[in-house]
Amino acid sequence: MDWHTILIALHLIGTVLGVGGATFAEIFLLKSLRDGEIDPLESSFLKVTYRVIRIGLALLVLSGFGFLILYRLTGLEERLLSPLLWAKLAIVGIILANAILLQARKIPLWLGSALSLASWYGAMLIIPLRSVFKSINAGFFDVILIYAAFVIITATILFGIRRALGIRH
Amino acid sequence: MTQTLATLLIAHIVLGLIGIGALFALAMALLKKMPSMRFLRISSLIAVIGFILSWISGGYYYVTYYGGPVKAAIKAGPNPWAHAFFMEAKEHVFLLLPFISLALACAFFFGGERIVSDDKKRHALLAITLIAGLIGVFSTLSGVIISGSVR
Repeated sequence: MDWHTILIALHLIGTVLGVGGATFAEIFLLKSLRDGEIDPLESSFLKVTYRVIRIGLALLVLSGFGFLILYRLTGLEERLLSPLLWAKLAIVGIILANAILLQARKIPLWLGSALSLASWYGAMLIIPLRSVFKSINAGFFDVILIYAAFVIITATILFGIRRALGIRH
Repeated sequence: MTQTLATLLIAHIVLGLIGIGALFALAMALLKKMPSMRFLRISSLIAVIGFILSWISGGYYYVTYYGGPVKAAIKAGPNPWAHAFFMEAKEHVFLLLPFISLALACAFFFGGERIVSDDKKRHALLAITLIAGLIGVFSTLSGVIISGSVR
């Protein structure tokens, strides 16, 4: 097995753990908040899910930089300055900053969870959608603008779900 | 580039990332009211070791290889500012990381519970950790720009 295949496998595992973890963290959070409080069992489920997300994030970052090293060593350096790559790096940076802000309780839970969910899906979709972005000649700021719209849509959908479930937080 | 230099470049990047990851873990732990002392000590030690080894491997690569053909290729390429600004900035600010991490590790190893149970001191340590983390992220992204400018 060559390095490229190993990196793709690790990147996929990291993404699956992160996206799956973020999705289930949101589901568990919504279920937990239905009765207005998070009991110890619900809290333990959430802690495990956050741990899975962090493992996914570590795999995503390490394998992602593995690709960058591979590009550097195989003469594909121009890929390191691609706007899509930088948009993905920015989104991963937002995931990290959001995790710190959530832990510090410096961001409202509704915004932090929407940001986390949308960012994970954004990080997953950005490369598979590269042909779409290239067809509209999207630069770094265009991709970030589309991502910001995606965050707003996610927050609105989650707000609707919370309202339907009668969650006030 | 020889196999040894490629290995050193990979080591420089991976060890730096491990250092930043350890700082991130440290920041997340310091945000808790009662962080685990063992976790703080291990994370800070990983950060120190990661940054020192990254410094040595990156330094050797810089002195024996980057300063010659790589620097010349960047300067002659479309983004000469990648060396003029980002490498010049990176090679200076990066030097702070091993020492800031060492200071943090000393605080956790010698200050122990006394430091962490004091909210003011814990917040000060958190601020230092976050500043070091931001320097680490800047260094990493600078490295991506520098490598991307080799043509």
